[in-house]
Amino acid sequence: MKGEFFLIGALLICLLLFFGLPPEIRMESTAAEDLRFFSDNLGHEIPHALNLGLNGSDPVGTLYNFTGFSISRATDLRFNMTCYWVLFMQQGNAVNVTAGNFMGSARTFEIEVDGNKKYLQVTPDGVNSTTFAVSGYTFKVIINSGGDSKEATLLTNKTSVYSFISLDRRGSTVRKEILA
Amino acid sequence: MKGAWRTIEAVIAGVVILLFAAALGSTQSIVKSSPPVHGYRALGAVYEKGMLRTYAAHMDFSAIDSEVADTGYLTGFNHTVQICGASGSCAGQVPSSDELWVSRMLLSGDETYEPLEVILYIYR
Repeated sequence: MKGEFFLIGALLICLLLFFGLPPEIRMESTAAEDLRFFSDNLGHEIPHALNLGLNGSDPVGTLYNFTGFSISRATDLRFNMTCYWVLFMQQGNAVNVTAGNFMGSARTFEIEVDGNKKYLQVTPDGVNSTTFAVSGYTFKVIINSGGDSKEATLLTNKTSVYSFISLDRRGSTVRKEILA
Repeated sequence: MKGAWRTIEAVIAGVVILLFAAALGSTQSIVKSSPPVHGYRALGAVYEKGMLRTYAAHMDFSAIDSEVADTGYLTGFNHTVQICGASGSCAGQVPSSDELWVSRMLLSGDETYEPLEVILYIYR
């Protein structure tokens, strides 16, 4: 019976050694590391592309173009990148909501702003938009699409974007949400 | 008889520890031979410093390469940088080597929208 303690002890030593390692060494050995870098990169650059688009008075066109550029680069890297984004821009006493769909198939976005619900049907690689009347400095939004749900409170006078990105490669998947 | 079983179990326990140590050693060697991870870190450090966007907008690949060297992440490796636009035109050279690794970063532009890809080639 005492001999079993040797085995249990050996397993405990292995566990202690593994969890005693610095986290970055354990992390670096994962195959999806470059996917994570790529998604972090997009997490910074999608909001930046939007700002550049606002400066150039074409936020939707710029975001659309940058998404296409990112997907083409991901394809070169042999990732499968799918993505959608929903853009909120003030238009007088209303908020314009534009959804871009790069998920590979038609998608319906259920958008709820301060309790008012509308549906946006978006074709693959397409965009569609609608407007909601708003009052006040902030508004509450709920986005439902393809089983995903996101709730946020946004500033009315600030252009905001919510983006969902999925990167896949041979069984490794990284998903990222961006709200900026 | 009991003593024999204890001996066998002790040997099995020793083998478990040795196999785990061997697996751990191979993981560490993967880390050592994963230059792209260090390349991403180097590019990320230059990006965080605020220099990557400016140099890329000016297609200054040698300045980025110099900044990458300053990060210290790629000590012991050679490296070059290429900057490519959305049209596919690139500035900078692709090194010729049998051991070549690549790390990349996308940029949307600096003061105006101009998507670029910074490609860091790491080689021995």
